[in-house]
Amino acid sequence: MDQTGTERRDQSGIVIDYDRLDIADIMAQIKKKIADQPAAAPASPDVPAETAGPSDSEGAPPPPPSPPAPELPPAGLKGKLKGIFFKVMRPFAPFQKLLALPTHRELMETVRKLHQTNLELEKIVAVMDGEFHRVNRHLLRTEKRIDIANDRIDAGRDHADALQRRADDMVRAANERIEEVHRTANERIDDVHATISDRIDLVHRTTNERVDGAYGDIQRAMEFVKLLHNLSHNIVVELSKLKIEEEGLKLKTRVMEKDFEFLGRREKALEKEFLK
Amino acid sequence: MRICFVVQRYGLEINGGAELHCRWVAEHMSKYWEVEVLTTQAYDYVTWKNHYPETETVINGIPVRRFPVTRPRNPEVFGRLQDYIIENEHREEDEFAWLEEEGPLSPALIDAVKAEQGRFDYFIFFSYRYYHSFHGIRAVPGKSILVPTAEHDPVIHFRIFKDLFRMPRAFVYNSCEERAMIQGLSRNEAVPGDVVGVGTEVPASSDGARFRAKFGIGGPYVIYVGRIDENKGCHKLFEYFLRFKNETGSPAQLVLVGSTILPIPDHADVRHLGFLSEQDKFDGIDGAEVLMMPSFYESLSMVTLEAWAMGKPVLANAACEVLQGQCRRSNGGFYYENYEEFREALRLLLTDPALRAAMGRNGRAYFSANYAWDVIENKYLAIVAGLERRP
Repeated sequence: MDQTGTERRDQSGIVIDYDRLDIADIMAQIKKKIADQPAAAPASPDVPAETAGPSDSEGAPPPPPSPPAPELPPAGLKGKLKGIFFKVMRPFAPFQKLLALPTHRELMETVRKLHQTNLELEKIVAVMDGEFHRVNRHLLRTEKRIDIANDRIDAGRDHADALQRRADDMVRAANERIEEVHRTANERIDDVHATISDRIDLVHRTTNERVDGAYGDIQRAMEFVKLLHNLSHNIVVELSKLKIEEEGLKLKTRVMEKDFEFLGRREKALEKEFLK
Repeated sequence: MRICFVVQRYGLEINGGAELHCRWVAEHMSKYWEVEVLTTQAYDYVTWKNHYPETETVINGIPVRRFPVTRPRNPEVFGRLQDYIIENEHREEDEFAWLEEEGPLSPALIDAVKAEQGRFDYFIFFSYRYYHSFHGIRAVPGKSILVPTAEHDPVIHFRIFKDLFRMPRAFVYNSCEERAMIQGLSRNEAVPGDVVGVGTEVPASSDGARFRAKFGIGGPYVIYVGRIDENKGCHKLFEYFLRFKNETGSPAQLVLVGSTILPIPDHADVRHLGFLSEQDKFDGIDGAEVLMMPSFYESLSMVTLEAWAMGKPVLANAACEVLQGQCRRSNGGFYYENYEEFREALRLLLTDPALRAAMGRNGRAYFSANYAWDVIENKYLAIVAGLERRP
């Protein structure tokens, strides 16, 4: 490993800072390393059977080889021509026998096989004709059924159209009704709104008047309070003056009482002098 | 505060993800709340047959009340119905029929939730996909908190769950990916919730050498812990691991811990040890170079958290968004999408001890920051406190 402080490079090239491990960073390096590697070689054959899971297989196994095609008898125009040719050549068979015995035998065998094949083909053609007629009948029946189904579809379409028209009518009626309700509701809302506005204006006006009246009363009351305050002040002043005057009069009264006593005693003294 | 936990099965013998999750949370939160558990009498999660005879018991200090399952599940009928619903257009009634087949069908449990709603402040339901959560949340929506433990499987797309996800007062998610998935499906962003998960109990001491000596394992090995099942991606793990050995000539062995329903490859370097004790399991993780986590569907892989708690790196299946997200967030695990990535990541892990150590450190730090029990407990307390502030 290459070492630089606490950061080292692993043999595989992964840089790890041991003091400040960053797992996400190491995982990113691992992913990059895997991505940079060339495609993996196929698994070696000595892997145990139980370890070979589905992920190991490189796609599905190849399909089994298809069986060889069966030998078909010669068919078509060429086969028929050959059959005709061998029939034509049949009278010359003894000559052929003299000329080339093995070839003649083989030819005869081939002719026999071709004949049988022809018979088989005719049988197949007959069967095919039967099948063709059966399929034809079936097709005709199917066509009839398709016609019936088409008729029914047409009828269904008409019915659906009628239903659609009814639905349209209902939707139109519902829309008209909704519009009417909407209009009526709007009118009623407008009426209610106007009534409420009038009522609010009335209440506002009345309240203002009452507030103005109350304000005038308050102003008057304030003037009264001021006057009462002055009155109270004056009363207090007058009462103070009266008190002072009372005190003066009391003093005068006492002086006069003393004068009166003196005069009384003087009167008595004078009376005594006169009576002597 | 009185809190009721409602879960499909409950018991010390039950090691299933959501059930164990519920028991651990209930036991830890009993420090703060008065906790009770309502559950069924079932033990087998395939048939839900009534197994526990007692109706009231105390498990590790938590009062537990069990209610009978009125009809056990027929796996064949359920499988056929689920396949039909997943693959065909269907009505909501079909989904309700599926929910009844899914079970555990225990109307008495739902009646108890309704009857006890005045006695508890909140009900915490575990696993959204079962009968008890669906009908329990509908019975007490204003007091329900859902721990959905949702995976990215086709069932979550059922229409009946869209409304269910908008119903609880709060959610306790296992991962950011789970929250994004549920919010994306149901647009329930208005329902408060937090990503919490679950802590795990890692023994103070574990010894890889003891494990090697006990089971006769020499040389480096990677470990898989959990049910050995096609749903957990184990068939791909076998295929990739044997191909990796064949191509690279690595001496590493694959050690499998857990019960199996898959044929194990007949190979000298694939060791199946069956179901082990907790101590043996942790010893096994301690001795391993890497924890393999090939699962396609996980809400929160506890064994992955356990490996990180023990400072071990993880190699996870990238097809599982939760595992991939956790590996990225923790910087404690690699993830693979195909064989080539599996090969390169495993080769890197097996040949670079410094990298394994660094990833282990990251995993341990991630576990401590997010899945230590005090973190989990505080998150639960905060969720409930948040609900108390929002009447």
